[in-house]
Amino acid sequence: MPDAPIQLWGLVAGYGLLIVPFAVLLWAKVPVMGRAAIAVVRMTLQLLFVGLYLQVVFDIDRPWLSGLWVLVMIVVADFSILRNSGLRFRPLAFPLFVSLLAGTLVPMFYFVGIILWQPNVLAARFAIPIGGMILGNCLRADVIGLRKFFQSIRTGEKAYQQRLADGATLAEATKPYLTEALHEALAPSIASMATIGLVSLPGMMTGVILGGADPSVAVMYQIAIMIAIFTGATLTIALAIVLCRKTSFNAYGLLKPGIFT
Amino acid sequence: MTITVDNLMLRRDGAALFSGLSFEAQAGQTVCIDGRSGSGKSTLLKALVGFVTPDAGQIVIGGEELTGKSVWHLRRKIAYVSQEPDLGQGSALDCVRRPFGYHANAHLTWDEQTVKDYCDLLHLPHKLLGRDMAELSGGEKQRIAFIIALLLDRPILLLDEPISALDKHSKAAFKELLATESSRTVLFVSHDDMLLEIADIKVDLETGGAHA
Repeated sequence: MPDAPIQLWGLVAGYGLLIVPFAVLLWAKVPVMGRAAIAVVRMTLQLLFVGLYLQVVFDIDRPWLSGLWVLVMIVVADFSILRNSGLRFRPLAFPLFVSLLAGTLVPMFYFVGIILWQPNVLAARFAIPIGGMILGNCLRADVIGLRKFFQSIRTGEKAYQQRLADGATLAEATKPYLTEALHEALAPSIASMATIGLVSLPGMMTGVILGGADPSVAVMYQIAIMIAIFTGATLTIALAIVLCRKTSFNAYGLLKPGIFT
Repeated sequence: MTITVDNLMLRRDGAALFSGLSFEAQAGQTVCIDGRSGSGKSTLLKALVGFVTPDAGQIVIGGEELTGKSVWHLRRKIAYVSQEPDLGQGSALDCVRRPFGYHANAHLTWDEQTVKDYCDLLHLPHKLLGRDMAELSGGEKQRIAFIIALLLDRPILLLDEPISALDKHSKAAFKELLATESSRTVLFVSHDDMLLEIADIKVDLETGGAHA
């Protein structure tokens, strides 16, 4: 329990802070008042629902239930990535799911089982927040990386076909596009690691400090989670491209036009 | 290596570019693909290298039908130069060297001197090899792509408007070099009379026939 838990009246007072942004939006006549109000309501309802659900999951604290929750998060992320990348669900959903599963579970189990040295790697209070943080970053990496990979091949079709004509296998012909996609997908994680602590205090560290732990403990958590996030993002995007490649090209090595929405 | 095109039909955007096209190019023959603009000449060359799938008919290369399965090893018999070659990023020399890194070309030996010799024959200065591909003119790119095609040493050469961006002297040099490649089966698309002179047969896409 944090040293200073938020009371109900405190949260209500927190909504009072919204007067500032809404006043600015009104003054500047920015036509997003309605959308901003709906976003605040949605955020509240979604977090209340998740809070209630997580309370139940934490109270029951069964590995299968935590595992199921992580799986549900991965399925939702799978849909979200394909929708945001402009790619079709059918040929790519399963390979992407596998890559998200590996990208999330491998660093999550390592974090909980090895770094935190917990006997139950699916303990709700560790698996769900750690898994969620890693998955969130995997999602971002996959959206950027998959979009870059497929768009680069589509826009650079002539250069790609020339590689095939020159004798490249599918793996050889797509290699430069994979490299470019990895570079672009991992840039945010690398930039975030390089500036963390200087530009902002990261979420996990803040949470651990607010939870009552010493800053030194919070720093160790933050270092470990940053490494886990970087590992997860790298693993998921590399796997996503390699696995999606198998279902996105026809027998002649050409990109299937139907994979774009 | 023989190329047989049998009763071929290719469509673009639902409309037939041509249909019932049949011809045979014997090993060592030079074939000119003729037809008005938009008649499907470039599309035919793309079909021969497996970038366009025929809507009807078949393509047989060296006795083997071109399919999704056979295309991977049949491509290794073909060197293809597109009308406006895009050889990827890097210097011209990087682009010439790149195919030598592919598993399919592992048997080839890289020799920079041979590249320079071809440059001399095609009136390309050696210093051009160090320049970025993005800086090269259309004609320079065409000649670099042709050099790659020759270095790959494949029995079939497919050339799509290979001299369209060349000046008169470079065209003559290109023609002279191509004329020495008598062991290869060459299919080219060109509106240039200079190249037509070296063709053994001419295939007219509009009539669907071949004649000497």
